[in-house]
Amino acid sequence: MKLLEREGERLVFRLSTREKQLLQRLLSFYPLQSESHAKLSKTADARFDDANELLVEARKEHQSELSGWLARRLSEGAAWVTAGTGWRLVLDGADAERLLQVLNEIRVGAWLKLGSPENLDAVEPDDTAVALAPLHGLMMLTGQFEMVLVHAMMGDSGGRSSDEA
Amino acid sequence: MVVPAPTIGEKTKEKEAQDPGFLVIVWNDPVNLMDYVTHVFMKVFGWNKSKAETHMLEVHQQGKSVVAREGFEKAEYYVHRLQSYHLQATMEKPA
Repeated sequence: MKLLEREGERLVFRLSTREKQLLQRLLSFYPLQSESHAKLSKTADARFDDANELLVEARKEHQSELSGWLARRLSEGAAWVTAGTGWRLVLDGADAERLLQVLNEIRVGAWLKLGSPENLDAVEPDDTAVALAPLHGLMMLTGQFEMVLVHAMMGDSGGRSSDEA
Repeated sequence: MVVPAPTIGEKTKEKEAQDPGFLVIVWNDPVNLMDYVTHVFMKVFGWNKSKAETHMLEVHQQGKSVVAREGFEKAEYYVHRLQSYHLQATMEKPA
C-alpha cells in the first residue's frame, strides 16, 4: 500500500489486488474486542458509576457506527477504484480516521486475546501455541497498515515505525 | 496597556483550590505504536507534532502522561475520545 496523492486531508493509496484482499480480510475481523471492560477511572468511586455506563454505551454506538461505515465504504467497495492491475483506495480525512481506529481496534483486540503480553518481542516460538499464531499475525499486519496510514495523514514519510508507546 | 496578571493568577489559584478538577491520564501499553499515539494526541487535543511527541515519549518512558486537567464533563469527553482510539486513558482526581 503506497500513498499516491495527498490533497489536504484527501488521501489516495495504491494497492495491488493481493494487498486489497489482505486489507479486506484483516478488516473482516472487526470488532475484535469486548467493550464491557471500558472504565473511565482507575479509582473506585460511586460518582463514576453512571459515567462508566455512559462510556460503555458510547463505545457500543461508536463500534456500530464504524461497522456500518466499514460495510458501506470498504467491504462493499465504495472507496475502491480499479487502476490497471491494482486498486486505488480513496479516503477523505474522516474516512482515514475511521480506518485507523478500526485497524487499531483489531490490533489491540488481538493483543488482549493474547493475554496482554508486556513484552511483545520476548515471546519464544515454543511458547506460542499454533492457535495463537493468527493473533500475532493480525497484530503485525494491522500495525503495518496503520503505519502507512498514519504517516500519510501526518504528511511525512517515516518515523519510529515499529516501536510501541 | 498593562494587564493586572497577578490578580488573575491569584483568582485562578483560588479557583483551582476550590475545584482541582480531574487529571486526564494516558497510560503506557506495549501495543499502541508510537507514531499512532502522537497522531491521536494531535487529533484529539489539536497539538502540534512536537508537543504531541513530548507527551507520547512521556507515556513511553515514564509509564503515563497527564494530558489535560479539566472539570468532570470535559475530562470525561477527552477520555471518551482517547478510548475511541483504544488508548488506555482514565480521569483521576489529583493526589
